[in-house]
Amino acid sequence: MPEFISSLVTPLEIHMMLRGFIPTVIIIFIGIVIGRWDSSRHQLTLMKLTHYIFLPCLAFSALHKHAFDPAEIFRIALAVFITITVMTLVSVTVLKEKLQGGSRNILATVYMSSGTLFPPLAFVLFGNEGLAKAIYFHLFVILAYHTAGLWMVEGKADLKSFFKTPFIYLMLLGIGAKLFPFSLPEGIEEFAWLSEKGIDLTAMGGLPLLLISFGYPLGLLQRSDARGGLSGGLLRVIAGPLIALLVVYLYRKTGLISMERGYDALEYLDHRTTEAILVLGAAMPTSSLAMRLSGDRVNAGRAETGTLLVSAAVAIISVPTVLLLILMFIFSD
Amino acid sequence: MNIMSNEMLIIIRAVLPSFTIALLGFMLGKLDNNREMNQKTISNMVYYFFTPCLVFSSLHKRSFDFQEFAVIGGAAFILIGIMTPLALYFKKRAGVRENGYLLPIIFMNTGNISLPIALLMFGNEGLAKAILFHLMNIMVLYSFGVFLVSGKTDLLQFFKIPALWAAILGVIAATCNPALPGFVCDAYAVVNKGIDVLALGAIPLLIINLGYSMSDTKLSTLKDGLTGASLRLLGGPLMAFALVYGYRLIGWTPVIQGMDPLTALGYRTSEAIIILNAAMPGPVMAYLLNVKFDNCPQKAASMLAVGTLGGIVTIPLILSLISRYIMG
Repeated sequence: MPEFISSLVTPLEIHMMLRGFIPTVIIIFIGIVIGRWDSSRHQLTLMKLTHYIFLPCLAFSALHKHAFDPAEIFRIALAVFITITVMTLVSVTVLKEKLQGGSRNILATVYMSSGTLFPPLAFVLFGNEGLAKAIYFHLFVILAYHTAGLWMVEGKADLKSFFKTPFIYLMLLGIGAKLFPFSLPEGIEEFAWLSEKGIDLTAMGGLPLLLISFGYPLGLLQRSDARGGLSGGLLRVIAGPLIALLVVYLYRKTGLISMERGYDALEYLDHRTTEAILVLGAAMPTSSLAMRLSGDRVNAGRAETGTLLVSAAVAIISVPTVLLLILMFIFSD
Repeated sequence: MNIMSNEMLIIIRAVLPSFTIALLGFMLGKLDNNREMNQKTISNMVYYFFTPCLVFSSLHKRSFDFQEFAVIGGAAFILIGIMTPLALYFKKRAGVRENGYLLPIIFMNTGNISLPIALLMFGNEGLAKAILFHLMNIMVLYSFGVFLVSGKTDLLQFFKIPALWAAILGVIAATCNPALPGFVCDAYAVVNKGIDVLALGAIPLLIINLGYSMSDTKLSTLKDGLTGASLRLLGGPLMAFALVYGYRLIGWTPVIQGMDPLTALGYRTSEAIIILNAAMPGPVMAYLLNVKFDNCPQKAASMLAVGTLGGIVTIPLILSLISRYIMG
């Protein structure tokens, strides 16, 4: 290992990081295999399962155990909006697209897989704290998608469909349960606790299913599809984390995220986890939901499909690299 | 003031999370009233990936005991053997000619419903024992069950079951402990973690699939399956209690605790798993075989629906009997 890396990261830390990352890659590959083998070609089934059940349960399960901190939410929201805005400007310039009325490839380049690949990865690497932050990250990504994103390609925002997302309501319920703990009669409280256990069980089951639903559409693509998406795919996984690193640097410079270690080691660690989530989230490949499949046919343009394929392929290298950077420059003393 | 006993609380703890998840599946089914979702996609994922991972993840963490397998697998075999002539008698009385009528009575749903309850009530030990019962049940289903509906056996199908190979691998991993180079151990640990994460998905998906199927049940079709389902839900556990009594008499599951309370607890868990599985409604696979061989699938579907709905009442009841007379 090069000396500058070994001076900042221990082999054990790298080992731990790979032990989290490789299993997620294995499960994504299983998703690809399912996509290739599933004769029904039914991505819609997976989408409905994740959209209506697993992602909402995951949001509730993560947030009702996580301390509610408006400052943390503000930091994540601001970082997501800055990252997406800068990414949009870079993508419009590099891909020579129009800011409004352009192709959907711009969405595939700017918007990351924050709802399928990111939550399981955040959980495996950073535990429930990381998962809760990833859930907030996803909220602001889909908000940006339904407003600015759709305005760019369709000429108008679609807040109605944003508010139809069940994920938001279970998220609010999770926050509410944390913020307003109310005592119920003993028997009813036991019932509520057991129902919560059922939701937690479903949430944990959602982790592999989200990864599979990310891999599934990749199983339907051909290598030749990559041609149209080289620039978009590379931009997604390389420019994304670089912009996020810059945001984290600015946060530190302006004091939005404190670097003070103080006596509260946990708070310090919490800030570092927030930074890690911002960078890791921005490093995710294109959202596979950008490529909605209908029956046997891929219902997406060639460029978007290519962007998804290239970003997913490059992510196998770029995500561990970003994780290494996170270990070196965020968690290292 | 305690409004329910500790026993009841333990049972509710095992069943209510499953009901919550089934309710989510049921609600999804109701939302998806145009039936846009494809259950085959979910079933295939569960069958080929999630359940094998659950089986491996559960079995490789505990030592394999052949005697325990003989006790649990033998019980599945005996229960099926006793239920067959009874089912034949009821088939004759109902005036049904097709043998497809027999399958949902003879065989048990040892996958979707039993595995989650076994895990929640008895932990990983219970889950591993339930898997042993499940394997014997499906082996007989693919041999004797297929013979009943088609006139020929299909053991090849049994050997194609991914969960069987996962069970074999799990037992090998639990039994052998070879000295391997460090990088192989690391790779094994990484793959194991992937398997463990995948295993997390098995139980919710199994129950959601069940809840989704239930959302499409028409009440008018239920009366056809009442007799068969009642025999399955009530006759099954009664026979299992008798079998457990027989096991105790011949000393296969000794009652004397001795100096090793863990061994005694292991025997009691085995007995509980036998009774729990015997109390299950008919398996979905029985219906699928009936569809495949066109052997009265409507009656089978009706029996499954009545059995699964009836199970909401009978399973907690059987669990309370288990808690009182077996574990108590």
